[in-house]
Amino acid sequence: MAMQPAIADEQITSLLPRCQRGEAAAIEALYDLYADRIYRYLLARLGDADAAADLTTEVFLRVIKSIAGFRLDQRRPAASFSAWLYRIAANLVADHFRGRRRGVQISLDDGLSLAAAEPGPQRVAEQRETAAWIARGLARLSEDQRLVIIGKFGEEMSNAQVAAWLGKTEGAVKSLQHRALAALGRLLGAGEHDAEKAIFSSAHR
Amino acid sequence: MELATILDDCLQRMRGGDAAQASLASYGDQAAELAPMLAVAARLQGLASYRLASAQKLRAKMTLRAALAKRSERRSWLSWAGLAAPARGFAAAAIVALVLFAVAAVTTVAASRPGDLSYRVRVVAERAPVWLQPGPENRAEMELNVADRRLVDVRNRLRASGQADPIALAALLASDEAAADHASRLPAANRAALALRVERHANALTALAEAAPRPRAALALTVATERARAIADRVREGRPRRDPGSDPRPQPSATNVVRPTPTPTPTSTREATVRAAATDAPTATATPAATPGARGPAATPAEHPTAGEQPTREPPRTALATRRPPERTFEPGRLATAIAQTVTALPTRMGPPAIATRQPRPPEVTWTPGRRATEIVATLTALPPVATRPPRPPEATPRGHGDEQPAGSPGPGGALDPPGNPPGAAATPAMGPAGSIEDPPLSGRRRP
Repeated sequence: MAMQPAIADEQITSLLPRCQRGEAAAIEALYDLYADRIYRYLLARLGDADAAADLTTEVFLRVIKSIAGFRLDQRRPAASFSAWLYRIAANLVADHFRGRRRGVQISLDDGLSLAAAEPGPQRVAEQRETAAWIARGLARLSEDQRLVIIGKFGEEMSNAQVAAWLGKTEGAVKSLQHRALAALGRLLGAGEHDAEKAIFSSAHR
Repeated sequence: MELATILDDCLQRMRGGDAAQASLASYGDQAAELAPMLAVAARLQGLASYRLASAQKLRAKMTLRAALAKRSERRSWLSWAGLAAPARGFAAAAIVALVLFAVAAVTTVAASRPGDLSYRVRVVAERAPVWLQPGPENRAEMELNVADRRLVDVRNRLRASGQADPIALAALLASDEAAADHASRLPAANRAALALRVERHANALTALAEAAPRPRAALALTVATERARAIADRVREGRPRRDPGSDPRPQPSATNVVRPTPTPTPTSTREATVRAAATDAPTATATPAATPGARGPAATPAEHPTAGEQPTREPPRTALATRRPPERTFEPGRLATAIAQTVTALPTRMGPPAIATRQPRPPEVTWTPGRRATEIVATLTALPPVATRPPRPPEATPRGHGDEQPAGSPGPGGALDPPGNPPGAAATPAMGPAGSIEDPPLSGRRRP
């Protein structure tokens, strides 16, 4: 699988002022850059493709609302902007789980419509199952561990890129990756019932 | 090697296309620990293939565009309503600038001194609060307070530059006049106290006139002194101002009234002087003979001409023509009588400058209103009387007792009127051909 091109600092420094002025084209360019990444993060957190797609749009609506007040870290523009975006997404996920706790139940198997290269029904079913499985596992991890897993496996970043994104050292990234995979191995190997309990207990935290 | 590093190495191999089994074979000792982690990693590898569908992206972009349009519409409405942050900032900056400008202007005006451009504004501004005072007594008091400040200004200017500032002097007298107007509605006891204050102004002006280093300043202050004394009398008697329709408020024309620019007197040969002195009751309509060489009233002589002091040109004749003769209570002193009479009365009697130049006649005697006036008067009065009424000695008449005399009369200075002079001739100093005022030959010498 081809590694996704990293987002260059120059792209962000040129796009951000235009976005802050409210240029529609710049907002769309920003969306094109980050939409799939944010979608994968949300899918990995929620295990629900439709909810992830809706929340992806919601993330960018929040960006439009508050980008005028965003101040870029000039030492690491792309990383700081990405961190800001993922923070918005994480807040939306938390809001989403709070809404579900108030009574809106979303089935992990409902409405998963993956769009990877016009998949057939078999492929759609597999992806739906994988998404749900990942979501159940990630729900038990810390935010740093989740981001390392999403960065390494969802965005196919190198250790150095993840380290720059999270503002950590490569050694710390390796350590987080090790602990996250070990936890996932234990959790996901314990069976579907326990895993489902895990994901709901995480949502209730 | 740490397990985290071994795991990372295995993951890189898997990403490069190696099977998980091959990685585990490389690290046989840790295979048991690595196996579940690599199994999880193999399932996570599919995460990167998840993407939004094109239709989903299109829908999302349309939503974002709509949100942007709504936002810009709201922003434009806010800015139209003047509530946008930049507009508020600009308005705040404008207000701050305005306040700073106002503070600077007020400070400049308040700190202005006679001679400054903003001094006129200060003079007017300081009198404005008078009209907020209740009752004529308070107003009169405040007018006199303002007059005190003007007196200080006159003194300071005199000390600094040797000049009598005409604006300050005019404002001083205008305030005194206004105080007199207000005082006319007060009982006698109150008026007496106010008159005393005006009298103090007159005394202070007298002292300044005596200390003035320049003749012109001394002359101006002397005339102002006489005017202040007349005002004091008016306050004491409670008479309203004689000008019909006069307003006690600050009158800009007051400057013209008190500016005592010594006007060259285009007549007054000794003969004329003697004739005028002999007149018992000279009238303001008397036309003195034109002084040869003097181009009408345009040439202004110094009071005490010196070698380096040239006569200056007089203000326009129209300004002089508005000058009023002294009031009935005007009772000048010995020296000031002659000067003030010359300044105030003569221009109304003078013919046009053209006539004056058409009748050149060398002066026989010129007269300078200097300190030797007493001597001159004494000499003139010693002449054999021609008129029916004998001349009064110059010192005989006490000043400031409100002896009323007809307007334009020389007042106590009537001692200048030797008997035998025809009526209508004014006792005015004469100006020589060069426009200078000289001592009469009777004195036998010129003033330095």
